[in-house]
Formats: sequence, C-alpha cells, structure tokens
Amino acid sequence: MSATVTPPFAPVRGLVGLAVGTDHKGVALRLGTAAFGFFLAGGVLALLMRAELAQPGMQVTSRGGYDQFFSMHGSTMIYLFVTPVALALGMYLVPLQVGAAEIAWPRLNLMGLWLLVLGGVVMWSGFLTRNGAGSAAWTGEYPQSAAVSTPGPGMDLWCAGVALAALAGIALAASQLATIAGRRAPGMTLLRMPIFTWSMLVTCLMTVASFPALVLAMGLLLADRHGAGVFDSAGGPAAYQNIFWFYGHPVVYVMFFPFLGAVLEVVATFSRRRVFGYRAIVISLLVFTALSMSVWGHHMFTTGQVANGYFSLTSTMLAVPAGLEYLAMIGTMVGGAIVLRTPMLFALGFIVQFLVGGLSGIYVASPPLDYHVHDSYFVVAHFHYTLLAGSVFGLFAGVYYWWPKVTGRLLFERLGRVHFWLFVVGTNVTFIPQFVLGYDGMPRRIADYSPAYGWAGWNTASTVGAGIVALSVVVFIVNVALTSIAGKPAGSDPWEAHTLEWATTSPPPRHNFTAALPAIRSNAPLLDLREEAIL
Amino acid sequence: MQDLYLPIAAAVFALIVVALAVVLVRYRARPERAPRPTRDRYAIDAGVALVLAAIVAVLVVVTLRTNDTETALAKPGFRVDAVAFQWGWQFSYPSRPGVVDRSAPNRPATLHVPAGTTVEVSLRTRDVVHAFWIPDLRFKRDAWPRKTARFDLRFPAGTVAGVGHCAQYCGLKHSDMVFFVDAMDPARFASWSRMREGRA
Amino acid sequence: MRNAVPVLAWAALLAALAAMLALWTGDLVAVVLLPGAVLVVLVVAMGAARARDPVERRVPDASASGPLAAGGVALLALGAVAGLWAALIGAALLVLAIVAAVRERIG
Repeated sequence: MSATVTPPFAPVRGLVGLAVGTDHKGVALRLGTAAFGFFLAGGVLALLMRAELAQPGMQVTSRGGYDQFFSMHGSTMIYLFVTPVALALGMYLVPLQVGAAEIAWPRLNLMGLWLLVLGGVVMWSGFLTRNGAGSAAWTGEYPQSAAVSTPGPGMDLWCAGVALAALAGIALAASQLATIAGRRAPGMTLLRMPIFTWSMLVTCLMTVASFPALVLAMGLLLADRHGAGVFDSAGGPAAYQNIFWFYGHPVVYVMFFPFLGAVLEVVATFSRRRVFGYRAIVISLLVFTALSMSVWGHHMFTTGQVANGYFSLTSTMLAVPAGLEYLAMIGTMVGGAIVLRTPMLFALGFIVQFLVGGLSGIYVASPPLDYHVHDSYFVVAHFHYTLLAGSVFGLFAGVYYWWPKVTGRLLFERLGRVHFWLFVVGTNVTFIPQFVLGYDGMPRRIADYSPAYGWAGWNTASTVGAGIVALSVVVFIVNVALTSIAGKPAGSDPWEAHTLEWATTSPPPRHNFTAALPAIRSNAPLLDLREEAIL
Repeated sequence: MQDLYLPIAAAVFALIVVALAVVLVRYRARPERAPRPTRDRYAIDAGVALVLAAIVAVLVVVTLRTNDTETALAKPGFRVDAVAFQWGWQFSYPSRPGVVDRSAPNRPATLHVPAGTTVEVSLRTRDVVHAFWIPDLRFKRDAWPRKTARFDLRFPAGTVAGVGHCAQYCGLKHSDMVFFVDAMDPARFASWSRMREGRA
Repeated sequence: MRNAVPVLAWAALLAALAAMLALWTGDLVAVVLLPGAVLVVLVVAMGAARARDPVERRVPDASASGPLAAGGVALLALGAVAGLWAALIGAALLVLAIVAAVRERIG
C-alpha cells in the first residue's frame, strides 16, 4: 500500500518539529522521554519519602509536605510514567509489527502526547501554589479530597492534570486500535499478529473502556470542590470510589500487559523458538483483561459498601489466566537454546518478581485476609512488586531488546548486567521489609511512627534498598549516554528475532519499510524465512 | 485462612522458581544442540487451567465462608460506640453512661474492653473516612460519613495491651491517630467499671 | 468484519460479568459501570468492523492540530481552576486545531 506525504507540511525540523511531527516513531520517543523524566521526578519523591521514614522523627519535611510527596509520587508514577511509557511502547512498535507504514490517526496520536505532557505540567505546578500540590493520595480519596479537607488550587490543578492524562491515554489507545484494525499488511490475519501486538490490543481495549471513568471522576470532583455538592448524599463518597476504582483497577493492568507482551517476545527470541501455546495466550489475554474490568471492588473490602463476595470471586479467578501466561513463558523456554543476554535477564527478573506481586495479590483478594493488611505497608509491598519489580523489569527487558532497533546501536552488555543485578537487589531489599512492616501493623501514608513499635530497623533497610534502586537507574543512564557516543552499530536484526519490525533498518525509515515485506504465513515471519533458508 | 493461602502461595512460587532453574540449566544454548521447534499442545494449557480453577474454587469457597463467619453479628456483647474524627478517637460505652475515652493532643485515647467475650462496636466518623485497625486482632473496618459500621470483636482472654491505628489517610495528622487497647480480664474489668461510674 | 470478533468476544465477557454483578448486588452505581463499558466497547467493535485500509492515503509529516487541540483541552480543564477566561481561550484553540486539521486534509 502506498502513502503520499501531504503538502505543505513536509518534515519540520528543530523545536517546532518536536511539537508538530506526526511520525509515530518520533512521537513515541518523545512520549517515552517525557515519561522517563516523570519517572525520575517521581523517584526523587520516593527517595525523599524513604529518607523521612528511615528513622522515627521528622528529619526531611513536615507532615503536610510528606502528604504531598506520597500523593505526587503515586500520581506521577501511575499517570505520568508507567501508563504513558506502556502506550509509547505500543505506539512505536505496533505499526511496525503489523507491517504498516504509519500509525492510523496520527493527529489524534500527536494530541495524546501533548495532553500527557501538559497534564503532567499542570499537576506538578501545584507545588508552586500556596497549599502545595495535590495531597489526597493518587486516588483523590473522597471526602478527604473535598474542598473543606484539602483546600487550595494545587488540588484543583491535580484534578485537571489527571483528567488530561486520562484523555491522553484514550487518544493514544484509540490510534493503536485503529492501526490494528485497519493497517495490517496483507497476510497478517489477527491470529498471525505478534504476541506483543495482541497485548497492546487488549491493553487499549481496557484503556478506552475504563479511562472515561477517571475523566468522569475528576470532572465530578472538580465540580464538587467548587460548590456543586456532587457527593453530598449518603451514597456520594462510595459513588466516587466506585467510579474511581472502575478506572483504578484496569489501569494497573494497562501498566502490566504491554510488558508481559514484551517479555514473551524477548523469551521467544532468546530461546530461539516460537512462542508456546499462541492461541491459549490470546484467549487468556482476552479473559484476563475482561476479568480485570470486574474486580475493582477489592480496593473497597473494608468499606462495607460493596459486594465483597463478588469482587473476591472475580479477583481470585485472575489466577487462572495468569497461570496460563506463566505456562506460556516457561513452555517457550522448554526445548529452546537459551541465550542470557540483558533483555532475557530482565525478562527472567520479571517472571520471578511479578509472581511475588501476583501471589500477594491473590492473598489480598480474600476479604478476611485483606481486613488486616489493607492500607498497610503489606499492600504497598504487593503493588510495588507488581509494578516496580514486575512491570518495570518487563519495561527494561523491552528497552534493552528494542533499543538497537530504535537507535541503531546496542546498549553495553556489561553495564546492562550491572544495572540488572543492582535493580534486583535494590527492589527486594526495599520491599521485602515492607511486607513485614505491614503485617506487623504499620499503616500506609504515614509521615512518622513511634520508636516504640520497633519498625525503625526494617524501615532503614528499606531505605537502603531504595538507594540501591536509584544507583541502578544511574547505571542505566550512563549506559545510554556512553552508547550514544560509542555504541556498536546494531544492524537490522542483531538478535535473530521473529517479527516484522526486525525486517527493516535500524532505525526504521520514515514510512517504516522501504523494501518489500517478507511473506506473512505465521506469527513469526522472520523465523519462517530463516528456517526456509536452512532447508 | 493463613494456613490455606500461605502454603499454596509458597508452593506455587517454589514450583515456578525451580521450573525456571531447571529449564535454564537444561536448555541453555549449546553449540551442538539446535532448539526444538515449538509444538503447541493445548491439552497442557487446558489441564493447567483446570487445576488452577480447582484451586481458585477452594480458595473462594473457604474465603466466602470465613468472611460470613467473621462479619456476622453474634449475640449481644459489651457495646462500644467508636467515633473517629480529624484527628483522634472517642470511645463511649452505652452500658456505662457518662464514661468516655477521648483523644487529647499528645494523649491517645484508650479503648477499654473486656477480654474473652464478644465486643460489639458501632463505628462512625465525624468528618472524612477513617479506618479502625487493631493489628493484634488482624481486623480493620472503615468509618464512613453518614454510615454506621457494626462489627464484633473478640479480644483473647488474658490482659492484652495493644495499639490501634487509623489506617485510612485522613489528612495532616493521620500518622498520629493512634489509640491504645486495654483488654481486661473479668476482675480488672469489674473494677474499671466501678471506678469509672459517674465520671466522664 | 473479522476484526470485530475479538472485540465482540471481549464485550460479551464484560456483559456476563456485569450480569453476575447485577444479580449479586443492588448498588446502582456499581451495577451501571460495567454496562457503560460494554457500550463503549461495542462502539469500538463497530469501528473495527468498518476499518478498511485506504489504498491511497495522505499522511502528514507534521500537524499543528495535535498540539493546538491538546492546548485547547488543557485550558478548558484549567477553566475550572483559573476561571472562564482560560476556558474561552481553550475553546478558541480547539477551533483553531480543527481548522488546521481540516486544511491539512483538503489542502
């Protein structure tokens, strides 16, 4: 299929080009860079929090300051880092993986980038206001987030920023869905799409189905804060929580499935085998994501306002498709010829560590068990295992895997291994103590605690772990910097991979493929080509 | 519940880790061995799904039964009216009119209860959502505006001095919303009742 | 049409979960959320069914409409915080964005 460039908007260079360029690859890089910047900002907040909690007493900030730190840490990581970077990964790769020259709806996609950036700026500008940034947690817990409890423009700016980030997600997801629906190369049936593209399909379905609830929640909250009395009825606060968590649970899966898809691709490539059980994976992706839309009440078990039985049932059922995904990952390795390059190391880290998060999730899916650990550091440890020790490991697996395709150069292996091992040690030293602390009775979102509880030792250990995580991120940044100066050229397919993005140059040209595409007869066209050549 | 969930979680974790270790050693790339082409065997997927579904069914049934037992309101016991507010607690005891334990700045309230018998708690809030958490009892419940939460607690026999926390973020002094728990054996409870009679 | 199959399957799963919840509880807010999502997904299914790869396509290399629209929406959102003037400027930016997009498509 051909695509003509629309005059007079020929390639625009420079700063203006950064704002208006529509090439999905450029937009994805800009979004990924912005998201990584927010990751660093959110990480600084985390380090400040850990510095405060290491010992009893207030050493770093005030109670009010701490409330802003933890609220903005969670908000930044979820709304401004992991969600956008997950969508950016899809934005870059999906058109390439389906053999398209361009993303569908490039203007909508570009709008999504700027909605996200502006949303982040608006949210963070709260720090410059008189009452500081939003301080009602990343969830805008109502009625704590009402104007009487959390006054000031910073909280309003938070609501507006979150709404913009939510709209960004919807725009970005819509473009990818349109691409998958209408831009696949000839021969690429749905059941020949790469597993990563399937994971983006279900991710984007969850996004368009659940993010509108967040826009609604933020709109209603803003209205309530300006006197509209939206949540004044007896059922008002529960209504807010239901609407919010209807978004708030699927989003954690939006922050998981792209990285699961990346890990499956990495495992297949570095086991030098096709993915095991492709159709079972597709079915379990659909079931897993549909189920995840129905579990939101498990965040509300202790409220007495939701049907605990239903939400416990659906939440526990998640173990079934999750187990099938694990079977797929391990089954792909069985019979393979495994090569332990950096992407594969991070993939293995994801597999083991996400499991800790997942199993602790099944644990808290049981109301009688959750009644103890809800809103404690146990839950904090649970979701950091899924998000940081899990998804972010999967993110780095994808980053180290696709870096040569995107930039044309390979990241350094040895530095990658240092990054990996520091990151493994760091995440575990940070969060294992938090399981202990939470079970022992340490609530979350507290700025300080009495020495009488005996929590200082575990807290200090956790803080040391956070420092190690920070160090590992520095190693990654150094790797990126050195590679940009002295990295080895990668060629189009340095890993001998399976899917179409590796059939073009590194980096790909403006319209992705200049030569004719290889014939598409399975979900691993390049592997097919290689096997035919041997025969 | 712990006795069910923890062993299963540990077993699953161990299984996956061991499987991975075995696979990584056995199928490490070697120059003399090519990878085996993938053959999908959906019977394995179906089998794994069935086993997991069975485990899920057991977990859910036990969970729902335990939940019903835990949240059921038993025969009447010693009643406590608990009110959470920004930022402290107030406990009053309907069978001891005029007796109130209330948080003061720098002095947490103490919840006085008899050990070894049912304690009926009615929990309310004066402002935002708070949560009443006694870690020693492995139980918490939220306090919601315009709603009264009712639950039964049972403090182990023998004097237990423990703490309670607010577990739901509620603003500036959320960290400080502690209360003490004094679960008294019958003799001490009787003398506390006598001592507090007629005093606010 | 084949495109719509996984989307419709997903919508069906959501509908089944919604029905189960409606039978389990009477809480209105909780019960309407999933059906709402089903409606959104059905719209996506319709779009997927009608998607056609156009043979000749005009693909922009750059578009002012993207950032303009984002700025417009952002100012509209800030209207709640900063006042009506922000919302009005935002609306104007949105109009500009639409004009830019239309000009690009037909120009």
